[in-house]
Amino acid sequence: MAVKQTIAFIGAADELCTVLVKKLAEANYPLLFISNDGYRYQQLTDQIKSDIPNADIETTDCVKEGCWEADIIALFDNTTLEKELIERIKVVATQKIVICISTSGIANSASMETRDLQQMLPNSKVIQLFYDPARLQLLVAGANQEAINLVSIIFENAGFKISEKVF
Amino acid sequence: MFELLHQKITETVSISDEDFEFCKTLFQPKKLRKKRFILGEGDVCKYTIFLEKGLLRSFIVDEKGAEHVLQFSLEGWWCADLYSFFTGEPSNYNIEALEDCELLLITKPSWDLLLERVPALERYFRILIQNNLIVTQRRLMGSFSETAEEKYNNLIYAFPDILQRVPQHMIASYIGISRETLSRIRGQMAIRR
Repeated sequence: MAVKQTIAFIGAADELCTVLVKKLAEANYPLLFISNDGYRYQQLTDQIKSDIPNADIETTDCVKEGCWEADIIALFDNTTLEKELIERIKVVATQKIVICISTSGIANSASMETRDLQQMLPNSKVIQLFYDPARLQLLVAGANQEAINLVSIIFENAGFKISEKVF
Repeated sequence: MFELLHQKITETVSISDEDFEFCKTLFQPKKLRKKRFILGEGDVCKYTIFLEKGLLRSFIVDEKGAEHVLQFSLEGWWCADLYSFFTGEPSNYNIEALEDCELLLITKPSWDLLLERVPALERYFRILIQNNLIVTQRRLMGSFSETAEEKYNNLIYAFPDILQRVPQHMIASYIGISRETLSRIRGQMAIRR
């Protein structure tokens, strides 16, 4: 019985979020939604559970508790990377993979936000995930090969096509 | 979050504040809900686990589907399938939270780095593993020589509050007896009192 990583999502429950979490839920990954916008995430949870009754999904409005429980922390690019938020999760994000998820195009180098985030979370493994909705493809990019490998496996298990890039 | 780890380390070895701060950067804090697993059979045991809070059980499942409890881990204890952790081979163990837990996880590469950079922890882990070997050896001998009642008494002596925290069938499994035999033993002990 393989134990799957718990993935926490921080940020608004938009269309990209819906696409990703649905496929991860289908692949039986435990998911944790962290948001003050409990209504939107509850709608998303209800939607997923109507299709996948056994989906393992929890919601919380406490970012520290959610990131403490998570094995992997995913931030959508519509999340404001406030210093206060990062300080709250810093101690519980140590040695964890932190993914910045974006649809804003394929990057040739780490985005400014990702570099800033890596500096603010020096003991975490920050990587980028770019979603190309036209090709239904994900690009996983970053400086930590081990983190890239693990995230690639997770999203491949969820049915996405993956390409990788190491900075 | 790291208070109990610091306490347990400093009970055995001296470690500077600077070294302990470095130590903290290599551990992954993890909250694990009751009935969730941190290791499943077939996984490679990537982490050795320090328990800041809560209770874990390590068990295997035989070919008939019966569970056999190998170990309970309490606050301040370390827990892992060391065979899988050190060799990278798939584990036969399952490690499950019996209560909501706060864990500190460290991978093998981080553990190696920790021992290299903080030599005092080489001694700490040597003593830990030494004690683990002694306990394992005694438990193995006890499995051949002790009666069920003796095993039960030894368990209660070592873990006085275990009856309040662990279901009886798991205690029976740990001792290697049936639930019914355990009930009989406890009944007989109650009468004698």
